[in-house]
Amino acid sequence: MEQETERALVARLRAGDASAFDAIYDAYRARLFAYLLRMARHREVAEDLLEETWLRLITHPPPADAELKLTPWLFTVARNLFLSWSRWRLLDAERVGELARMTLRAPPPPGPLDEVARGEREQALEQALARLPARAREALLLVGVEGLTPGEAAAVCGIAPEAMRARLMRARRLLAHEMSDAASEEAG
Amino acid sequence: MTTPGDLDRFTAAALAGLGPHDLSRPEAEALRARCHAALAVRRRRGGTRATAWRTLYDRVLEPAAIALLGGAVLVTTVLRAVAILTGRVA
Repeated sequence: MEQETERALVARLRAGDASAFDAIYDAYRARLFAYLLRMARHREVAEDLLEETWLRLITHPPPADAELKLTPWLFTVARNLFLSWSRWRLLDAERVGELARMTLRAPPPPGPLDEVARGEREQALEQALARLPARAREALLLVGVEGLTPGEAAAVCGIAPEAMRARLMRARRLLAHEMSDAASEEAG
Repeated sequence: MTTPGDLDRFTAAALAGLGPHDLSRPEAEALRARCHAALAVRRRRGGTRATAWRTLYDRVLEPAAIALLGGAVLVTTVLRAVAILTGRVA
């Protein structure tokens, strides 16, 4: 979606135009849901966070000015909601142990992603992504899957573009490592 | 080819080829309906400008008014207490 079109849509949305909302919703729903599903790794959580993201767009839409870039704006909102959920989860005493094990990158249990993954190669990639630390995963998702530039992804994550490039380098290495580990486990 | 900070061609192609994920059609339509309802509520309240005014009122004006009132009561109470303790009031 071009920036000019996005600006016009957001201006109409700010005036309460439902068809403008529909255009944005249809263009971004699947992308945001896939991002949230791969970050949260729970379908119900991803659905809740997706709804929150849209409600945030409705109640606090971005200004429809020359600076507007809707893609990074929407992914920033989705990311912040995911981080809030993660913090809440961290505070849930019963899950502290579980989260500590997650950060040690234990393989996650088979989830909805496994069911819909197409082909072994894609399934292996989905599982390798799911095992990555959240920061590495989000860098690869934003740039590799969603097609944001490293600069836009850096803005979404609130870091400098150089830091995002470094994060991408590390993430790519980690992903390759995870993929080769999975391949050698299968061979062995 | 690998360039510093960017994804190499293999990783980029693999990630870009990952399958899509989306809500089912009924879920997507139900969510759309809930969002339309929220949009209608905002429209009735007067759109973004009214929302901005409401936010300003909720976050700045109302707390400031309460703080001023509370401060005035506190100062009055302290002044009266001092007056009583120093015997200026019978």
